[in-house]
Amino acid sequence: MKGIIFNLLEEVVTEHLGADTWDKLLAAAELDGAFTSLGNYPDEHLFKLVAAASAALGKQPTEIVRWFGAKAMPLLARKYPPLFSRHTSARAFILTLNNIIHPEVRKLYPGADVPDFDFDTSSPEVLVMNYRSKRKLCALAEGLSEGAAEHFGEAVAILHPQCMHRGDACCRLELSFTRKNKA
Amino acid sequence: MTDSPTGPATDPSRLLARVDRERNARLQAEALAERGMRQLYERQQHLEVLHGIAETANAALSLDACLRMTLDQWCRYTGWPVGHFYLISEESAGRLISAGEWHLNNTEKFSAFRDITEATTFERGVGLPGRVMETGRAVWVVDVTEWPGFLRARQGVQLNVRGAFAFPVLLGDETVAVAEFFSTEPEEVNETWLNLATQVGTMLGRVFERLRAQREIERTHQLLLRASREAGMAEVANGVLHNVGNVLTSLNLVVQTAQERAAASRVSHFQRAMEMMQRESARLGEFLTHDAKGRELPGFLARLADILIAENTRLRSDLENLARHCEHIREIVVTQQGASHSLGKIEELDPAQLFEDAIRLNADSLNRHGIRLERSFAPLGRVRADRHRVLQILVNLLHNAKDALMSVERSKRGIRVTIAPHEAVNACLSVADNGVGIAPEVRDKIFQHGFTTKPDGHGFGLHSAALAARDMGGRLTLGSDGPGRGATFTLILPLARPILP
Repeated sequence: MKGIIFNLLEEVVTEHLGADTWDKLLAAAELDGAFTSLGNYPDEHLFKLVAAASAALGKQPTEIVRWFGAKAMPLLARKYPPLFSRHTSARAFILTLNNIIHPEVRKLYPGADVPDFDFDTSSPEVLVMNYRSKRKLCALAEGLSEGAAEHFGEAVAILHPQCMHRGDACCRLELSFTRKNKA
Repeated sequence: MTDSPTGPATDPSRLLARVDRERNARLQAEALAERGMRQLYERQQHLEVLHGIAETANAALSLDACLRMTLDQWCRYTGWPVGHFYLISEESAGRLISAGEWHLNNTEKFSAFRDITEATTFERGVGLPGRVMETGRAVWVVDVTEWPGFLRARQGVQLNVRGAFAFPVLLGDETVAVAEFFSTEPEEVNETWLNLATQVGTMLGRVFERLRAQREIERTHQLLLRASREAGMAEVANGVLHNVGNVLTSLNLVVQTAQERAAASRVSHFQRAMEMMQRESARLGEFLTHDAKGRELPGFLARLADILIAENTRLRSDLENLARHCEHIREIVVTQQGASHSLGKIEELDPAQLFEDAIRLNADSLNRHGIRLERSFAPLGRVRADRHRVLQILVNLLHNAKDALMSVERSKRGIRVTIAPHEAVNACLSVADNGVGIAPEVRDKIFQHGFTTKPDGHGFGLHSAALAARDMGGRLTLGSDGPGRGATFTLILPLARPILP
């Protein structure tokens, strides 16, 4: 797992739950917490932190991951504005994952093991995203979709009819975006 | 710096500030490292695409393949889904037409765009490719749907393209092709790509330059081939003249001899005898029986008849020789006429018969110069050859041998003609003389066109003979031990059937 994920998690936790919480999570996960964005760390470290957060906050690990994904999106938008600025909708942004965002990730992190998303765009209302990864972080994909919708002033309804955690070969996420009314 | 030289600061706000500083330093270091990584990656990608296209350009590919591979590599590099090439129209140097070479990552999605593009030609200055051709520079359009110059959008068909980028393939200052690429989204100008495109355009220009040079070489080659064919025909014609000249020399001699014989004919004696008999016609019986002259007349007429018959026999022989020479000239001319279509017919021929024919054609000349001829013919069976060409070669060799013997004392002049096997599959037809011989430095040049040792020679006979031998699947060789030691020319011809061991 790339250090950038740990950095984002640290930032999200610190921003929303405070620096002390991050210290406690690190202590509970028995990690020293010295992560640098370009470094490579065992996936296990992330799962330990998620488990610690799950225990501390009394929430399911998938909920923690989903929350993290949603809250990480604004940080990513601050960090890599060109990836967002060319789009006006979450759907268009998400559709650049394979062709633009992941190639950009590979520029920074040679050998990054990024997941491949298989999109079905035949419906203008529902964007179907098939996700396959040995890490099974479909909750992160859900959270990031929610974060993306939020970024573009939209709401998203997510159906998850197939899931690797339930024994399916891949996860199928059906995303329906709607524009929020401006208050 | 700390508040106390002995330990860390204890003020929490200061500690927090210090942690923040450290954290910011880390973030800055990471940002720097990321920038470096990105630049390194991008540079590597540039090099890869340039290297790939350079390899494509250098490989001996067709233009079509080169263009297609360039499109594939550029689209893979940029991630853009559509790439296409225009070429200069052969009918109008100021017009661009589709080269028919595409990169499409979704054929169905862009089929309308492709159809409209292939049906559209662009004059210099018109549309995206025309603009590139006019300026000789790359053109970037952020969004073609908002660019009035995008002609293809005027047909009201959904083209599914937005961002566009086109660059020229340059040969010096001349635009020889235009590459265009399209994205499905509006695209901001990318200076790196513009710079890369200039390099790619120059590299591809070299491909066009090479192809032009190849076409020019091919054209020159065709001209050379034609010239060589014409030269070949000229050689044949020259060969005909040479051989006809040889025969004419013999023919002239026969004519001269016949003329001398006719001039020296005793036929006038018969006329005088007749005049005498007419004068004495009134008393012819008495004249023949009592006159001294009259009594000798019958015997004289009998002797004269013998002489005239002998003269007539010699003249008939001369006329036969003349007819043979004329027939040979006819054969040579027929051969030349045939050569304009095919160089003679390959037949199975008796080499001894070929030699005898050639000797007969040179017989007068050989006899006149007192040249002794010796034959040594091994029974090898037939050779595969063109009769007229072999005849021309052998006549030429015998003629040369005769010339080589002119400075040799008359009683010692000799030519030896030989037929012998060579490596079981060939026959060697040799003409050896004991004449002036050939110096080693001349030996190598003797078959070259234009080389001759004779004051009135053209350097054509042996050259054409060697070519003819090669055409028949054989060869002509020369052996000589040097000046004054004679020479042997050998015509090697394939046997119709190899000699069994």
